[in-house]
Amino acid sequence: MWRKSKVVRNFVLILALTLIAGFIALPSKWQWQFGNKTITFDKSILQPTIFGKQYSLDLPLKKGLDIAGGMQLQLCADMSNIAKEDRLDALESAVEVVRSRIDAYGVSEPVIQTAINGDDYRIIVELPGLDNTDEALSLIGTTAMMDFRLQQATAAAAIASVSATTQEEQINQYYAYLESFEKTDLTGTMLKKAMATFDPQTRQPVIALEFTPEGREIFADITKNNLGNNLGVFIDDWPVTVPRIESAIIDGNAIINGQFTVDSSRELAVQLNSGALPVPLEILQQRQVGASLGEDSISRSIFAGVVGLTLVCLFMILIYGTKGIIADIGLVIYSILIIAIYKIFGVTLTLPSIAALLLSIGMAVDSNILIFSRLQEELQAGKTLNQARELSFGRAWDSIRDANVITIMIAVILINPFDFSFLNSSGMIRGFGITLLIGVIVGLFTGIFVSRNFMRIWIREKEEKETSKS
Amino acid sequence: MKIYKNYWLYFFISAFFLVPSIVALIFFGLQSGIDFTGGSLLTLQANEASMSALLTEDAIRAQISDDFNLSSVKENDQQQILLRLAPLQNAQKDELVNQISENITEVEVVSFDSLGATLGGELIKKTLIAIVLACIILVFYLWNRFHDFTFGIAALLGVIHDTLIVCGIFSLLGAYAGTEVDTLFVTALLTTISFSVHDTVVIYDRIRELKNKFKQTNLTEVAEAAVTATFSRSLNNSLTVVFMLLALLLLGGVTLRDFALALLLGVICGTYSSPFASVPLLLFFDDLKKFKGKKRD
Repeated sequence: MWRKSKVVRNFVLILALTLIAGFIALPSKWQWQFGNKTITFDKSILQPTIFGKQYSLDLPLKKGLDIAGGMQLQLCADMSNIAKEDRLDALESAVEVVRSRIDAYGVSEPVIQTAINGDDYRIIVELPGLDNTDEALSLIGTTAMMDFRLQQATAAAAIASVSATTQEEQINQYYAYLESFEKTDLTGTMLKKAMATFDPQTRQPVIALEFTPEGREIFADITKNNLGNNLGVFIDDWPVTVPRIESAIIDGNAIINGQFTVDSSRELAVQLNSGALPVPLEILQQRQVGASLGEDSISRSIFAGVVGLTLVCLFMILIYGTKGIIADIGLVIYSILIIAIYKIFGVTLTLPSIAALLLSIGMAVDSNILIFSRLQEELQAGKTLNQARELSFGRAWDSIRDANVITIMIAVILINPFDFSFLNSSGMIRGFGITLLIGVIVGLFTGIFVSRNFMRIWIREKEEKETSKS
Repeated sequence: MKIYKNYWLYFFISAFFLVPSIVALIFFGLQSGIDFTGGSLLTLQANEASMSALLTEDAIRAQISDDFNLSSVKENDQQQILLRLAPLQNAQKDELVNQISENITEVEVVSFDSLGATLGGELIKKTLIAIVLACIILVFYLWNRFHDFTFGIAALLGVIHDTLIVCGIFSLLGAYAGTEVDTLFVTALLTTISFSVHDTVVIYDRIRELKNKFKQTNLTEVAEAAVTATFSRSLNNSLTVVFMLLALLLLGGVTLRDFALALLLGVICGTYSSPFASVPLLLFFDDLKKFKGKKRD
């Protein structure tokens, strides 16, 4: 049925896994106090190099918005003025505008997602750790303003000829540069579409611009009268690209060429489209959490978790005696593995996900309880300890599998991995589902594999002692 | 043990809880949070703790303009004030906070949630779909595992039984204590479903095993043996989950309290319903089949 060497091998495997997971699970810096001696350990010194690549074992635990504090916004992009086939491009451009504005604002690790549901186009923005929400909101919520501005070739040459050395001089020079542009009547709305494409002759990446009939005439006028001058494209008063007018274009189809790569031409086309396809953004949902609220909740929840875990451990020992200790060891390994997995896969910790974790701890002992009850029954039926132990694992497995399959399926509905538009895709519920799923799977591992091997060692020893006594 | 000799008695016990739950749901409904109806929820805290007593509903109503559509003011146990309002823009929120700060006492925004009404309706639809989908999957999985449609239906009715009772209790809590249901509540219901089925499956599994072992015994005796054998396991397992949830309910943060309560009620109902609702239903379906069979003869 099973060999001793296999048990030893599995035991070593579990031990090694627990140690590695335990190391990852530990905070990055910790201290021990021995009387007046303090031992400090900093995890950052351990960065093994494997195959020339440096790996860090110091992974942070990602905190969600409700714990770290910050703001979540759900913006609805009003697509009523955009042709159906251009809507995806328009959304992409709107996201780009939002992203560049957030970047300018200096938020670390913003999350920007889109959700498309039929004719409904949304942008979901999460800004963790943000304090001044008013400014950020007005920044994000406004529609991008794009216009075209002319710069005389002589003015450009005059500015370039000044050599600025100090920082102040450079700033002044840049302002002079910005001021050298004159506004034209051509605005972003007169641009119909921008597209990254290739020059048929040189095969270089270029950007093709297509103007509306109104824009075509203004553009033709400008290009006719300003050969050799620069026509800058400005978004929110900042120049995005400043191409030079090389010929008069009367058909409203212009090409911007230059030293583009495929990526950079695409990027510029997306930026230009934000002006060509302006989408007003309406705030559907605003969620703002002060950091203090989150901190308070997390410390309380962790305290609750520790108390609950202790109660469960004591209960198991009380009911199942020494077998309860095996279940408890399994539970401790379970907790360590869970934290390590959260860190490795960057699972975002939110309050609902902490609740799911606590719930799954409660459920993780279930496989143990099922097996222990079964063991008791088989022993009463007159089986020997070895037989009873192996039988109970086999028989309990059916129930454990069926019960957990259903929990896994419900977790998958909550996660909605394929982004079905008829199901929820809110981060909170998804987080709960993910933690529940991880909890159930790890619970199966500790409940079946870990406990089984521990029982083979523990319960066998006792049996040998008993037989030697008699 | 002859626990299922008069199994219909359990239907009366269930009805004792189900009927008030359904009545409460019809009369009071559920107090939906802004997740479902749209609106905004603003949590404020007085800068000086001693001043928080000034933030009463009347004082706030008197000081702010009617445009904000203040529908309720509640205080939580951390001396924070929760205002329920119409969906607000950020600028409107700032205006409101200024009005309170200037006229009553300096306050600080702890959290602010604002949700357009369209989004609210959408959430209700999506969460209902999630629950229905979970139920369909459940019935088909059990049908497939136990080769008998009545197993799936009995388990599903057990789940509906639990869901109705938890909703009924929250309906009463909503009517008398203003407890609101939100997306987390639906999540708790889905978890309840999975927990309840978990327990039912363990019993079903044992019924299947015993049925194959002793082919001649009738289903009632098999069910009695199966429930007796699994009862201590069911109770012990539920107790460990109850410990965790009780700790979360009593010691965890305010934000998770209602969620933990919904889960706790769900676990208790789920533990009860498996042996005392799903299994009696299974026996009832079995008798129904026999009765029909006799009629045909």
